[in-house]
Amino acid sequence: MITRRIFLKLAAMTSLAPLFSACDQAPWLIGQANLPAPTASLINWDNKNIKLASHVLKRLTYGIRPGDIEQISSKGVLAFIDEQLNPETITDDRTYYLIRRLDTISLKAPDIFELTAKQAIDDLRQATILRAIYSERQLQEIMVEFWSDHFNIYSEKADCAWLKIIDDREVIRKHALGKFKDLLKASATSPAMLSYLDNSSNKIGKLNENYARELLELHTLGVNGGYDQKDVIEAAKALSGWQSSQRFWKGKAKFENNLHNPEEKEILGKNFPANKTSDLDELINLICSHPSTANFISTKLCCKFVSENPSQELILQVAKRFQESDGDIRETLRIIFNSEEFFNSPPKFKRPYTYMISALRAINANSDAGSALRQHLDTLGQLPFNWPTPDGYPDRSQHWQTQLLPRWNFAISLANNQIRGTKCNLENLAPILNTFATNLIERPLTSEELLAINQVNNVSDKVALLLSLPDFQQQ
Amino acid sequence: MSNQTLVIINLRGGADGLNIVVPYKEENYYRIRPTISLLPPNKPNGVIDLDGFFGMHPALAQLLPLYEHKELAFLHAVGWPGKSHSHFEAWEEIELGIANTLEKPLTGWLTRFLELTTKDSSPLQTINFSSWPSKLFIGCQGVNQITQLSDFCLITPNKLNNSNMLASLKSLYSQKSLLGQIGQRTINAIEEINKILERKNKDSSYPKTKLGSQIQSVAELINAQVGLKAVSLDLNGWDTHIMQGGAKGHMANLLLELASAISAFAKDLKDSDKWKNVLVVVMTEFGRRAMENASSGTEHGQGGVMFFAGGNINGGRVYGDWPGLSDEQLSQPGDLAITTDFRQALSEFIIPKVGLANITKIFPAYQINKQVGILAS
Repeated sequence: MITRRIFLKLAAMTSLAPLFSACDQAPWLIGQANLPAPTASLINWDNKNIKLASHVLKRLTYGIRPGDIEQISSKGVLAFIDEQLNPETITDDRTYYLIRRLDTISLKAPDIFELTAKQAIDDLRQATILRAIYSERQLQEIMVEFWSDHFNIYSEKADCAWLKIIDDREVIRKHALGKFKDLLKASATSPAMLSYLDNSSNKIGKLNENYARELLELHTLGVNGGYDQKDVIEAAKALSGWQSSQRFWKGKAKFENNLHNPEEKEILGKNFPANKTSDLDELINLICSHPSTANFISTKLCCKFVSENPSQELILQVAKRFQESDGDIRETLRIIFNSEEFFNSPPKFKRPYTYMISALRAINANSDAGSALRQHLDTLGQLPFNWPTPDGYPDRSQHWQTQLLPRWNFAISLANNQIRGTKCNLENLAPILNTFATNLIERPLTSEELLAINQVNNVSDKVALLLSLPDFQQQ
Repeated sequence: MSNQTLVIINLRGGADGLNIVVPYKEENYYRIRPTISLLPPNKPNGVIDLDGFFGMHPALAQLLPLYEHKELAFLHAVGWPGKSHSHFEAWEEIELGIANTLEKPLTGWLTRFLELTTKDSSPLQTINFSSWPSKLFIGCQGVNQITQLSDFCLITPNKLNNSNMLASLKSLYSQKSLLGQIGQRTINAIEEINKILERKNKDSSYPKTKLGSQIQSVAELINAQVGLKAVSLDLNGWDTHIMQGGAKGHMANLLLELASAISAFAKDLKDSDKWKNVLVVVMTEFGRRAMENASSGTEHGQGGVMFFAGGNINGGRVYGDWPGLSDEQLSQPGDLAITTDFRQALSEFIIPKVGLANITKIFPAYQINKQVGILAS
């Protein structure tokens, strides 16, 4: 049976097809990225400004594309950072049209449930990866990934495969660079979170501590943030009564007063008087303004953008801004990006997701982010929305760096055009391979490396080896 | 002691020990678990009696022959003595070999154990099958991260290219850096595993589950005598805040998956006469709250259960001092109390290898109180 949704999709496709089939300026209107074959440019890597531009590109984007260095150099690094912090000012037509094809992403909540769980979450994964590769709003996408880990939802649990689509749109993307408090409140009342951490089972006389504990431990204060088991139980009481709506209202949350525990509560030393309608706002305000939250979020952001062991001075400075700005994520990031420590930070080992996207970007690959590519991502260990525990994918290099083989296999498949739906054209690189290599690792190849790469004959295998270099595993 | 390979199976999420090794003679058990408790041995779907007081979950039935042959032992009311009830802090401290201390060692306890006990350096000495950000192997020079043995090879579109590509990668990773060392080790492991995969002789009695195929890989490596010393495997899904089930249901399915994997593994290694050289340790970060919650599940607790299996243990017993389940006996806010520290339990096989005097090198500042006696001397 053709549903309304499929009918609209077919109608849209057939009406657009004749319009654009002969148009080669913008084939991404019908869903192809259509990037040109990659080039290599002669870049002076000893130039301080070039180094700076590349450092910023590697941390604020998913990897440097051919031509990016020249572009950011002419724009100015600070202007680029500012632009990235204000993604709404960046035009992003290519991504808009690429994502528009995936109508699941914009479906109204009840319609999402017409899909199978696999279709729903696969479409979201596809959109997420497409945005990471092609969006000009790169920092926005990086922050979406950061918060998707921070407020992890595992798509295999209960209805999360469907509900995560709404969570991604209404919680994570909406507030990724907004106020932490709004983000947290949206997450607390997100049907996906209510379901994933069982808060929809938390009712008066039927306490369920799961969400309350992770809210304090993982989302706000941190495990040593100054709460105890009693606070967990009291917070769980305060959070009781929030339900996921059913039937036509699926995908929304509602507060049911008769399921809320009206007792007086004491959380983190603060009194919550009895018989209040929902304690949620007050609880969120309390924990958002707690210094442990500022410290915890700032530490995580510094680990993400600076290094695994950021200095206490930097964390304090960032946390101070977080508190003063009432948890303004944009302002908090600005402190990090303006710090000496950020500019001077040593290379970070890329997580597998970043590695994959950076390889695709480096060679201007044209990918549909389809199931074949996602299969590689799964093997690499970081398929979005597939991490079971509420801590999100690890950010520590020690977790990832022992897993090199899947990266090499991905690089070989990619460069040899063995991934269905993902194509690259590397022929032009053959005569300029050394220059291309310097674009990837910011230095000429050593004579040993050159020898190793020339042991293989075709340009695909050579590029695969370049993408496998230890230096390209770092950002 | 002649255990050569240590196989650690981590039940991630906090496995409910009270419904794995069930104190069916304890009346409080039925009082505090009205809907999820398991019936006594003589009842339909009841537990399998172990010693007249404890019975094991019926989904573990495949493990009964091992228990009867004294090749399987349980240790009850064991755990990590931290108070936070946090999955992440619990695992971190367990894997670092500490509890309630701010001073964190830079290496995992298993890394330190291997440093003291292993002289040779086979490229396949330690394998981590776990996708958890485990601290067990932190600082370990020899660990390989593998999800599936048969996937651990370089895949080139043209087979003839394969050895060339591997050789090139070998020289690209010839630097002394940490990443260089990891790359070298990975390539050595690929070459070793290639040899094992060539002489494949598949045992089909393993369950078709992730744990089943991974533990089969472990058996293949043990049978190939590549010098495997320690592996870590995961079985996820034990964080049963809602609908954990009883004799049937979510947790029963997990237990069945666990039991069928261990049972096939033991049989396979017995056939090759290697079972006596293996010790399987099954552990979790904490047990769950003694009383069930209103969602037919359980909250995070403290004392839990550990399994020990192998050809060289004093099995057929449930070890541990039983703390009881009355209100006064429970530990705040209503957990099975811990009567054996997890480090005590792990020391059972560590002491015979490194000596009592060296135990603080594995577990910093930890005092051993008593030997439990699980391992045959």
